[in-house]
Amino acid sequence: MLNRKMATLAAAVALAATGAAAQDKTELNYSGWINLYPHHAAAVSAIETGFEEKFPDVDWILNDVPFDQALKQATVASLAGNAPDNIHLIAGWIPALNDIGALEPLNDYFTAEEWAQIPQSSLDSVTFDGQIMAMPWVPGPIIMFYNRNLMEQAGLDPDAPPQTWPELLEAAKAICALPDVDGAPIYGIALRTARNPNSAQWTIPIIYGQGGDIVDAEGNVTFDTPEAAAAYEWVKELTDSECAPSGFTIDETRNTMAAGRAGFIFEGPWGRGLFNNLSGGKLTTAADGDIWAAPMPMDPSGKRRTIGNPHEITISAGSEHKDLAAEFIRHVIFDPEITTAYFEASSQLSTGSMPLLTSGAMGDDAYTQVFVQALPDTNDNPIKSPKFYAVMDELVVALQSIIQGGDIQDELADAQRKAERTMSR
Amino acid sequence: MNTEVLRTGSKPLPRQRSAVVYKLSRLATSFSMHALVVASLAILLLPIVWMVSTSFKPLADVFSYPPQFIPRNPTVEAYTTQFTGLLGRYFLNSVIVGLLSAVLATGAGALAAYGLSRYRLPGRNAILMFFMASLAFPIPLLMISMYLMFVQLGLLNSYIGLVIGHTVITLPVCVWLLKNFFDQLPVEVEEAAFVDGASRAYTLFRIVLPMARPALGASAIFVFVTSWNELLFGLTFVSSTSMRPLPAGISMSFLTEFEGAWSEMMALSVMVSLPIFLLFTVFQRTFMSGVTAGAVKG
Amino acid sequence: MGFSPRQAPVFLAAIFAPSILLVGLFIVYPVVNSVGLAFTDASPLSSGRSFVGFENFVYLLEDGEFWEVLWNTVFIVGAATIIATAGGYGLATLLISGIRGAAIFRAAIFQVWVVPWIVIAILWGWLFSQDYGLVNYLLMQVGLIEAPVKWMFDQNASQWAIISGYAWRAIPFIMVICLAALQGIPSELVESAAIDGASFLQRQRYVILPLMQNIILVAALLQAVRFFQEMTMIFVLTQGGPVNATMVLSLYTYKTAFEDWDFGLASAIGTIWLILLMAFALFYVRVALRRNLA
Repeated sequence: MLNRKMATLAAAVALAATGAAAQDKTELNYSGWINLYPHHAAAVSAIETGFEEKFPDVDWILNDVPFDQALKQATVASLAGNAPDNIHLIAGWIPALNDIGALEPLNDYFTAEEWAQIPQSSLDSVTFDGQIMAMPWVPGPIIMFYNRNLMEQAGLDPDAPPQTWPELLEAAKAICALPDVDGAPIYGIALRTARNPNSAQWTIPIIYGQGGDIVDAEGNVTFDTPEAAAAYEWVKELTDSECAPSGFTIDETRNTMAAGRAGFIFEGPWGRGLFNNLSGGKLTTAADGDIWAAPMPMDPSGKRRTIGNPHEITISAGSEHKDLAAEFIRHVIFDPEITTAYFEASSQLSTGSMPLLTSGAMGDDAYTQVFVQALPDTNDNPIKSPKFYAVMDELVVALQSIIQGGDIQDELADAQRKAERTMSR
Repeated sequence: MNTEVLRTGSKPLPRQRSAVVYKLSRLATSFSMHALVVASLAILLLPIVWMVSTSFKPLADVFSYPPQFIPRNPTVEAYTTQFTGLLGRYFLNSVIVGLLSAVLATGAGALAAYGLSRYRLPGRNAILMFFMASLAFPIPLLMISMYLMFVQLGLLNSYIGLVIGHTVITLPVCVWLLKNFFDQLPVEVEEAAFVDGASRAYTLFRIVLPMARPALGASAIFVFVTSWNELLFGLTFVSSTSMRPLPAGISMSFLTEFEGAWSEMMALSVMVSLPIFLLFTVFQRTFMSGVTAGAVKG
Repeated sequence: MGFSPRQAPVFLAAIFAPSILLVGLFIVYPVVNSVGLAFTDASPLSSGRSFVGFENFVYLLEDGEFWEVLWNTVFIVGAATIIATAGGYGLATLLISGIRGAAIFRAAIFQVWVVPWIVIAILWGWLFSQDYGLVNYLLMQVGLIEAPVKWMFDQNASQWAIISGYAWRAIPFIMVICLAALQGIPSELVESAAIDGASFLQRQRYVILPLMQNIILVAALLQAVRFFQEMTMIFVLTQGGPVNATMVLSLYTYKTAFEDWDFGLASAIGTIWLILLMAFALFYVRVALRRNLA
């Protein structure tokens, strides 16, 4: 009797396992993090319905991957030979995936007119030996957001955000001197310092801000520089005085900013949608609103320079529907209806196409233009190497050690040593 | 001692007042003893109480100060937002992988355990020791070569790959648990069956295994629960959302989405725990007797 | 006792075939193969692989980080095992002392044992949240701390947050084992000690613990082995941070393999881990054997 029960069970399981596979339509798989914030849902459904209307025989399938896991998942899937057709990435990961042959060169899939719409610098960062491996999607300059109300309460002019790094330090300290609200402290600046390579990546603009860089003239990684030491000193001063939180994840910093409990935060174009939605509509991001965006402070020589974390959309080398995957890219990058829908749902810049960024709804949007203006000062690939994120993973250990009282010189030297080994493997 | 342990271990505490119990009961009646039990219970159950409590709060009350243990404005909102197709799919995947692993590991384990228990095999102890030691093998080390193999075999992103992974990490325990059980079954029954002319296969499948049902059940539950818990294989060997089992699916889809939305996170936690709680409540006796026998005999 | 294998070679081959296949293909081969990889610079990111001798091992042993990880692992696993064992044994002693409602208490405590690790990870994130966490609130109410502890950023605190989760999950397991074993102790022994005037603690020290020590040790070792493998909580909560405070061998090996894609180095870490654990297992065998002989 037990045997018969078991057999029935096994049959049921087998049925359930195969039942989902019966499909006549062509499946086009996308993987990425576009759907992970609820306020993007409207955009996702616009993209999906729009695409399936254009291609009625296609079933567009969304594979959620959180940002933190996206590089790993893309690598795993590519090595396994079952990568989704379209992979959502950031520019910094393109070299790593290109290195394992995971990506399809896009040069021939798009017309010269289409390519001309994308800024050359954005294309350069994803071009290898003349082959363009990714289509720039959401532009990614990382700039400075600030809470105008807190500026005012701290006696600062909300229309005159800090212009230099020492000024930013002073402003952050003034804001964090404000009294606690509901038993929770106000932070000067919401720096991300969790153990995530992304935390280290976000310190690169601070190093730029001291006039430094993380690669030397030959392109070798250099963390062990006076400018890097100065940048980490800057961070440490803020965390030591509790004017910056310690160990916060990306999301914790965003929640803190959206709760009105931080004066400043470094974010990309996705900042507005996040803050407006995470605050439950209590805060608005606008030139005369609660939160506003400004360029990164200048380095000692008066130059502005920041990193970009632009989203890219790619076609996997193993895709069986490459032309269709290219159509999907065309759909999200060049169809004004879709870019507008994505822009309106997410409140973020929604395409790499300059004509679309500077016309229509986005053209009229002051917020969008702050980012468009920052584009020329933006370095999308601070280390153009497959090991970029692996090296950032070494640097974040140094960052955390320094915040906890480790010696800056020693920790940076240690990160340097580890980075050199990683690069040599 | 072992059969005794097995029998009492599966029952509520013994009623008869043995001398140990008698002497200790003088202490037990004292207030402090009870207070100590209640206090430790409170500490142990606090996290679960807090999880359930938070899951029924509106987000505004989640952060209230001082914390409310009993929700003042109870709501099931956090639960209803979760019932998306995606979560259902993760549940389905976990159930499928869990059941298949349970059948495979228990089946293969029972056969091997029977052989090890009944036959004077050379190196029987060495085999058993190998099984025990293999429990300690670094799983990531196994995964490295399994990953390379699965790439070749095309088993990545499939239920089969996960089932194999979950089977091999549980098989050693199944073998031990079931061998201990078979050791306690009187061999005379089989000898009688052989005398009656029954084949060895018939005796095993029609006579021995039906008697071993409690142990088979315990083994299957163990495998299922381990599979339900397992994160690494699900994270590494699966690359499409629709194939992910629960732990990997949750860490990939929900942790970011619900960051800070603690009532929803707790509701999710309750829902993930519930099937296992139910499974254990229903099969507690079976499981406890099987596991204590295996472990106590060590 | 037992049948002779010669009576039924085909039958035996048939019943052993599935597990031999599974174990051979998916345990023995992967382990042997991975140990081999430890002497190469293998990576799925590159097609070629070359023999590098002991380079990976030399790097690890010279690198401070590896020793740090090893120490963290021993500390976290060790502390959690000790706490769980002491707690589990203590609870078993309490529950067997004949208090009312013991069965209900026992059933309630069992529930802790089956909480999925992913749930513990999420739940611990909430309990130990810096600003709104229940743990900080309670500790401040009791007066043990004055300001909220940064559980996920202070290196010591984060280790204890993880240890508490491990220990919490394991207490019921140890308790179950100890209860079963305590029930098997002949009552005359304890009774006569009590009649001789031995106090509760003396009875524990001279009568019960000597009988229990092997079983406690075995249960603790089993639990420790499981802790070595477990990493869900750390993966979800800290990713090994702050700095490397909660980086344990399992996560370190996993990340080296599947985030840095350095299969050679990861295999070397796993191989060292394997050697350490074999030593551990040998100890276990000794203990188990000694008990069986006695």
